[in-house]
Amino acid sequence: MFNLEKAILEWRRSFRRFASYEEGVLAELETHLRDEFGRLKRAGAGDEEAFAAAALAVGRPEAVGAEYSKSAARCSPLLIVSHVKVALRKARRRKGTSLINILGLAVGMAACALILLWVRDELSFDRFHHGVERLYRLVLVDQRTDNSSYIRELPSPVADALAKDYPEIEAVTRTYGARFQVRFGDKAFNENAVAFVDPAYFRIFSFPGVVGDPAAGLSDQSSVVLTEETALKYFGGENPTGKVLNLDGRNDYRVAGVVRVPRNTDLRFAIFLPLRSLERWGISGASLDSNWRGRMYRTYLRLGPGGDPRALERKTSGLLKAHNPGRDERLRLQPLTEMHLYAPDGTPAGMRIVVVLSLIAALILAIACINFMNLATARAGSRAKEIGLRKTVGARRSQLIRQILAESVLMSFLALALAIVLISAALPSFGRLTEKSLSFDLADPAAVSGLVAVALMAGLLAGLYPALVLSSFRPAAALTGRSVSPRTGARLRKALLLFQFSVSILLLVATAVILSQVRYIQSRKIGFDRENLIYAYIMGANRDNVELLKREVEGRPEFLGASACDNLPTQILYQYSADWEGRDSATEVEFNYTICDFDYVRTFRMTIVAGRDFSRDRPADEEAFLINEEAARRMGVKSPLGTRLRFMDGHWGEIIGIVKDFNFRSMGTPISPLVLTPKGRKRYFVARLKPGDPGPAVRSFEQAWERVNPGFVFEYGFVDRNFDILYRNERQLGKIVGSFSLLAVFISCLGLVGLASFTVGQKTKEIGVRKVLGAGRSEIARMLASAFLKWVLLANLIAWPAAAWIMSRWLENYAYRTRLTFWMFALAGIVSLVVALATISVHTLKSALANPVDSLRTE
Amino acid sequence: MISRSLMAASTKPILLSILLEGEDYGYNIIQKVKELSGGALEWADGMIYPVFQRLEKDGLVASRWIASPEGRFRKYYRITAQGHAELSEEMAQWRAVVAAMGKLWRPLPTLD
Repeated sequence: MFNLEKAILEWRRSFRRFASYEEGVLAELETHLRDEFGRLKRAGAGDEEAFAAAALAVGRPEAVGAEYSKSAARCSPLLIVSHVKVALRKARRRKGTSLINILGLAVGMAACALILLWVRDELSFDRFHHGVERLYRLVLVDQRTDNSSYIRELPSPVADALAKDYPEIEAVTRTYGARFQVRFGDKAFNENAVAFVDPAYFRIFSFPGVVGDPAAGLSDQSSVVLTEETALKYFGGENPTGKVLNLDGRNDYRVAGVVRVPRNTDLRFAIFLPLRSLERWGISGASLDSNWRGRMYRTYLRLGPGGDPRALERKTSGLLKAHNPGRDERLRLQPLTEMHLYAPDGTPAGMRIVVVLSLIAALILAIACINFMNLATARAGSRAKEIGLRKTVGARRSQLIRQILAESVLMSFLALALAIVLISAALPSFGRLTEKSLSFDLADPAAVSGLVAVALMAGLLAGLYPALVLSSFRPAAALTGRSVSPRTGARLRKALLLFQFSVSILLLVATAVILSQVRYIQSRKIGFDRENLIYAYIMGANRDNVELLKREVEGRPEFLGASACDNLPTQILYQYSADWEGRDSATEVEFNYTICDFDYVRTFRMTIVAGRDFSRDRPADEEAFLINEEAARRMGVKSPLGTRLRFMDGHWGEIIGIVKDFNFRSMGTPISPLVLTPKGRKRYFVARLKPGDPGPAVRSFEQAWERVNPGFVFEYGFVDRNFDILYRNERQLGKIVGSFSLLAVFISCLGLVGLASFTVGQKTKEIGVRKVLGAGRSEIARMLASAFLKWVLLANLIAWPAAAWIMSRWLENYAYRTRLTFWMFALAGIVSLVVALATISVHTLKSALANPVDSLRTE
Repeated sequence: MISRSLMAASTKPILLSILLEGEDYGYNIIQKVKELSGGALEWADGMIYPVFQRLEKDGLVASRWIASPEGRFRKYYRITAQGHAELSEEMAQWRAVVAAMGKLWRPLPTLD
């Protein structure tokens, strides 16, 4: 007998098979069916016949259902709310795994965000100038030697020649860095970042004027432009315009303008003086206009619209040769935007670090996402029933995928919230680590949209695989629990675990190598004793009092000796050519040089390997030279001692001794030929202290200074610290890579905790059975531990060769480098194994100790 | 028989126009469409409900459930202000099309 209600129930079910519907939809369709059924009945049809016709009129379920999901696909807000609700419910129910997921992801995101903040800052240097794509730094390429050297300082007349003869150039400026003691009223400061610049400087670079017109301010020989900070330092809140600053007690400058210089520029000067006013400091106008040989001025230019830098390089290729016939020099235009991260010759020195750190950021985020994927697929078995049920009541696959993705995106946004807290907390120490003052501002749209994008991507990436796997379950099989073995995705899970640990181990090895290299170059014998050397820069009138100061210091018990020189060993940079007796005309050697007094070798404790040191008893030594071993080797003369040498087209003098090679530059560069000459201006005063507490010596040094130079600001430094600064980049890199590799290990282990607890849960019964059959605790623990340690070991085997290859390539950047030793790898391996073992041991112990009855009784 | 694409294009203005006469429920609306078109518009009845759902999400119609005298709950739809605006826009377009067609197709010659 036909039963209308039963038929309608069946009919509704057929609809659900093809789609899920919002509330009320099926009820509405049902009233329609009933209305039509009623009409047909009234027309005289039988029950069964009327129902069939009415159902036909409503339409085939699959067609109507498809029409509905078309409109549902437009993502109703209701549906999203429901997804979020379900996801929250899930998170609450599984507190442990949710915590691991969120914490791991948050740490990963925070680490990634911190690195990206740093990267963004590095990439932002000097990008704020208007039309920055037309700004260039000029580099002098000296092609005389076997390999060209790239020099940032140019002869002075280059700028004028370029501005005059090349219409495609809009403006050119020179800069010349200097240091002065600056005095205003009773305030005096030693200023190390003073620049002599051409008026075009402020037309080329966009440092906004705060007071006055900076470009106009520099057209007058006695005017000065200050940065905001400097103006504040001297004048407080007062209007600085027209105030007069005295430099080195010799020349006055009147403040004509104030500019704002942002933090992210490499053109960080505090005071700008007109370049022409160098004439007030003893540099002749003739030298400024026509000295084509001295390389002293950093030069920048702005091209006109459409100007082609390569064409300009070709056009100017003969410019320097025309004035310096003996030399082979040309100009290179380096984009200003490359100035911060690329060396003058275009090697991506800083860029390499940016790339490496970005890569590390991506890897850490990947490790964190993998945790999520692994835990989600591992839990797949336990979710199978839920998925089966959802499918049975009409969920379509696309809806399930959306649901699971919504869950993982929600998790990643919860992680994002935590990550923001972590970022703010870690920013100060990260700032110290990178020696940068980075700021993170939630009102900064770029930072926020970046973070949201990272969260969204992490959520989608982490959820995609679980979504595809889980949604593919066949409902019938899933409900009976048959098809979903715990092995679902097991292979992938292991591969991902392997990846996580390989990356972590790789980073650990990298850290060990970098730190060992830093220690190596810092502790390597450099050819002189850099400890206990104090120095001061001699300014202005003091310059003439070097001898006085020396005598004053030498008489004091805290000091072992003193010397004056023109540069500290870390600052010997410039190279010049030399001529000597018996020189083969084909032999061209570029020498570094330093001007020093007769006590230099003694004070620095360098070693004379042949000949003798300068001697006060021989006034003729004033004209003599010392050279280093490298110079002796390169000159190609049988015995350099007694050979006469001429340097920088100056006087001829005898080589009286050979100094043992010492490192005066970073270990990245081999020792180059060096000449020591007593003739010339000496600006640094260096004194050797007795070992021990430097405090009394510094006070004594200050007293001596005060007696010789009353009224001049006393500033001092230590030579060994200057050497440390040479390795600042390496030290930083070591610290950054080190911290982040530890984070990577931490996040990997977090994932391991989750997987271990899951595996143990899966094997509860197996363990019970084994115990009943007589297995001991240690056997159980070993069985469980080996399941994971196997993979960590394998990860070591993968990571080691990769690390060895990458790190030996990195070490090739150094002329003096540490060797890769077995312990660097072994240490990383041991750390990974110990940490992994400690992580999973909690779970293994718990289950090894558990009473088998409890686990077997659950049936 | 009217083609699918033409049907798809005309469904919205037809449904909105019917609602101009007042609030009504799905079954009744379908009957009116059939009556109006003399059966030329052949819809599967069920197909108008997803369309109403979409119109409702777009804010062109609003709905409520009302119990009939015999106790059956029916979902009544009415046109919203936004729906009115949308419809007048549609009407202008359809009129333009019809006018153009009218000019192109002179009345068929009749045999006196």
